[in-house]
Amino acid sequence: MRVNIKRLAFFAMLLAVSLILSYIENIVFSDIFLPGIKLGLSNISVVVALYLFGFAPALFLGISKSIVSLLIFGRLSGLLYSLFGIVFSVVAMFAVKKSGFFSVFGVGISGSAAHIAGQLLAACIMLSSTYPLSLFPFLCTASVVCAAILYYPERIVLLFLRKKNCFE
Amino acid sequence: MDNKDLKIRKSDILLTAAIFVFCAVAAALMLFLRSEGETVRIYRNGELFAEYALAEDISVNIDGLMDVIIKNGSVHVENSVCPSGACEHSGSINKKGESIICLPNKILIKIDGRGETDAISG
Repeated sequence: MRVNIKRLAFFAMLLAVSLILSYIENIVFSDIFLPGIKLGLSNISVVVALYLFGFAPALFLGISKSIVSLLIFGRLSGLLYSLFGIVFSVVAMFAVKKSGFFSVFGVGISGSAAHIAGQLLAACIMLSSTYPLSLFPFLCTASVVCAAILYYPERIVLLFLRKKNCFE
Repeated sequence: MDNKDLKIRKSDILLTAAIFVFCAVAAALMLFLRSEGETVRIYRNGELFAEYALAEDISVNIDGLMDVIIKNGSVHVENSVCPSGACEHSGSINKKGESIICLPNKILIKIDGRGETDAISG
């Protein structure tokens, strides 16, 4: 297997950026909103990875991001939630992107909705109760709004990278 | 390379609207159901010991005396220590106003309406 150094470097950079973004988000958003509701800034890098590199790298980025950020912030107990969320999210985004009907806006929205669904499903498994699912409508609405906001930075980053013709 | 896939399309708006409508309907449905949803209150020696939503699936051990199981909207008791086992024989309850009583241990498990607290004496 031939390793593309450029891609590898960019992938590592995306991971670093996403960790910084989660860090910033943890500082800024931890007290402002309800606990558990965050903008999900670091998902920008997952969307960018999906568009530049495709499904497998995006999934790998998402999983690495969850594990490393949980290690950094010391919330390893949340690993199952996080992994469920990110795997659901990347699979949904890939499917929606593949369908060809939607732009990066729709991809981001479906990813965030699936992210919440995955996390709540993990909560259901851990609590062995269906109660967490009743939170879905509220959290899903909030996360879709966040994803709509994130569309703008995602678009800017992708436009820039395409203009530079880095990965064609 | 064209950047068509970066511009918001009609289908994106439709998808977003569809998700919002789904969430709104689900939330409305749940609020509607919850108004009928009830609270399980467990009293010990006449005092409120614990309170759970009937909609929750949960298993509570009361001081090693018995396990109160709330599952699928009904409540029953398992593993009671008292020999008569009257509380276990009460079977499972699921309607407002029904109760399971364990006299030897002075435990009362009662289904109340949402939010309202009935005065309990003795």
